[in-house]
Amino acid sequence: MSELGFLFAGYAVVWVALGGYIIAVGRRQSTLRREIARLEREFRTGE
Amino acid sequence: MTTVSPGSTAQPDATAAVADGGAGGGVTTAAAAPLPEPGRTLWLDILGVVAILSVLVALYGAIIWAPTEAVMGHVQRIFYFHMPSAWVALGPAFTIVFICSIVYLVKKDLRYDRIAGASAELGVLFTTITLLTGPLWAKPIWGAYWTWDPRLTTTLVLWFIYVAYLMLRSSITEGHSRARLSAVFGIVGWIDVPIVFMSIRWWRTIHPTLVTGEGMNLDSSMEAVLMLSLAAITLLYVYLLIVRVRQLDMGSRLDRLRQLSHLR
Amino acid sequence: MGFLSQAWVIARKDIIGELRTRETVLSMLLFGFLVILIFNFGIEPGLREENLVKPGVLWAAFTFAGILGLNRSFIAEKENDCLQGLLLCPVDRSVIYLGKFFGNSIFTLSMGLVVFLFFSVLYNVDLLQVALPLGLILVLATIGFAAVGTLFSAVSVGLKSRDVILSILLFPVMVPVVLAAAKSSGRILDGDPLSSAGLWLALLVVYDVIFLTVAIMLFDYAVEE
Repeated sequence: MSELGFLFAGYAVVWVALGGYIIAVGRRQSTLRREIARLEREFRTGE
Repeated sequence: MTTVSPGSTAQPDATAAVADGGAGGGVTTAAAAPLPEPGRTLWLDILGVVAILSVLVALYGAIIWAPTEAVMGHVQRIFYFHMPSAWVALGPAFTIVFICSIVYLVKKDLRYDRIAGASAELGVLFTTITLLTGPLWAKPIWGAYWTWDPRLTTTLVLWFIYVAYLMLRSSITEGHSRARLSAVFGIVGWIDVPIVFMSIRWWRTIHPTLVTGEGMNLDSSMEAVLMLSLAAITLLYVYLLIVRVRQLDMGSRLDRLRQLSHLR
Repeated sequence: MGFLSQAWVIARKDIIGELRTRETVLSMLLFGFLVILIFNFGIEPGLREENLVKPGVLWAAFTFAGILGLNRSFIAEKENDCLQGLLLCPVDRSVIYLGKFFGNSIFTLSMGLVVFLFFSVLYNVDLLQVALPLGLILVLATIGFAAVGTLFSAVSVGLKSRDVILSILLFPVMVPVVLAAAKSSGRILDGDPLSSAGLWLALLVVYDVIFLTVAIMLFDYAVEE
């Protein structure tokens, strides 16, 4: 691998790792959001 | 309404029943105004924008603005993100795990446990980045991906300790016992780190230190870029930590709410 | 009753139970032998660097076999609800910790002694010449191993996958002990005097003192119900 190849790989690792974490957090956030919406409905219909 | 002790009821089939009931009531909710997104505040959004912008500026500085290092060439540019990741993980991230573990054991407030858990996650993330970028930088310069240098080896052991911490957390479901047991390990693990470093340094004294950061001559513009990316990565860590802790807070409140909802 | 004699009562309970079944120490021993045997196939006989590899084999066997004993340390208590009874004893929690620590140390030490014997026969080590210094290293390493191991054993006993979790928790934290023990016993096996390993022995002592103290302080939280 060329010198620039290693540089590219290094930066790719940084962005893939950070991006992967942020996507995972975002996913969990939307799960929570759905859950909240569902509970809201649940409370309203229950009344 | 009956009072319940927390943690006593959480059957998966019960939540499924809630979902069915919710689908039937969709008509009434359609008219209601959407509530603001929970857990979102202006200052946190601003912090996030600042963190991401400063990472982008640091990226520009590292790739384009900083001069090419005379001996190592372009590969040295990995350093601008390698070193700050190592700093964030070994410095604030794991220290916060240690401090919040102690505070939890004293105060028994689960909030501190959530901070410790989130910080350990981010610490492992940044240690992973450090461990992966290091070899990619070392290979073209020293001809080997890995050397058993004290710093590298300590970082690897550290990675194992905090991955173990996360595995311990994920294998316990009840909130307070998870907090208690992982706090015990979080404290022992952090105290172990300097001893690991000393032992590995003595072990490797015979070896000439192949991999030392001091070997580089950073001119002033390189130093400026390094400082910038240190600040940027630290900001990013702080932002992600707050987001993740608030998310965990929300999750635990939801758990409580869910219990109340199917008890009515 | 004094602090230490109270702890000794708990240790004696474990030792008497062990003498009756001999389950733990025997399985530790067998496992230690097997580790040496397996590692042996990885070493080319007559290799010039053999002396550099041997201490590593010895301490790998010690660590792997030792963890078997730790795995069982709290299981019997948990299964028969003895832990509850033990915790209800009108004694300080640190006494219970010390009692379990003594018991685990004695099991690990006996395993270590026999594994050393097995090792010295297989690799033609003149045990008489190195018995004392190696014994000292074994004692110091055992204290560190059992100090942290007893605490982590209590941490992991209530978990479903406790065996795996205990290994994953313990091994990285044990790195300084294994390193110091392997390096110092390497010096001894090379025929150097004990003083040449002074730095490593000091490291072991520091590790033992720090983690024994930390574990006594934290044990209460590890078993709290």
